[in-house]
Amino acid sequence: MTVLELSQHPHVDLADLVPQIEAGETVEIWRDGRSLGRLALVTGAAPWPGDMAAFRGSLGATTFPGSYVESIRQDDGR
Amino acid sequence: MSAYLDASALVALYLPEVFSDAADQAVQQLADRVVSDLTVTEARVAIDRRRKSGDITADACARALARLNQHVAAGIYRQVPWSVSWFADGVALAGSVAVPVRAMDAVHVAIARSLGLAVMSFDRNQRRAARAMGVSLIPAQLPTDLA
Repeated sequence: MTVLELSQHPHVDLADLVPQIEAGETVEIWRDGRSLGRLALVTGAAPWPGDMAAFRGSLGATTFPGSYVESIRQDDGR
Repeated sequence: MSAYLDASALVALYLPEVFSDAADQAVQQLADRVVSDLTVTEARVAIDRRRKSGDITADACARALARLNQHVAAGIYRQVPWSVSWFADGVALAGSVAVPVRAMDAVHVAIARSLGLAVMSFDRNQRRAARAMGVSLIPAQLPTDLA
């Protein structure tokens, strides 16, 4: 991780850091000896849980014969 | 692959309906599952509405809502910050196509379009709107006997 102290680089353009971020590096932004935040690559979401069919089955609910959200949107007529 | 999940996709994942298996298959292909405050709010209300209509028990409703909330908190979905401009984008998009479009469908599709994402939806009206607006759909086709 790279630390960028803004008081030492007052004219830095944060856009110049994009290549480093894209390369997977995390840059922590500091000002006057205090951490303000981090710039980092956005990674994918947490893994999808594989147990959803079993979860739905455990609810004891009947299977709705279509898209439930579509049906209530039709009712609301919006 | 990334997609913006409509409430019709979220509800199919948490409560049993004919599209649930298709929703499972589609969502497993996604590395980035994007939702908005609007999607999550609509899904929560829809799940509770099945309880109020007597379609599911209070326990099933509570468990489905808890599982959805747990997934949102755990980062299973990427919840994008709300942008007020999406309302105007939706109005402009709805006005740009010949087919009739419901207001919230236009907003959902506008969100996906502004983020450069496909829409994962099982609402046939919304799918027609998205297609007319040039936004890709997940799944590309609904199961033929259910479409």
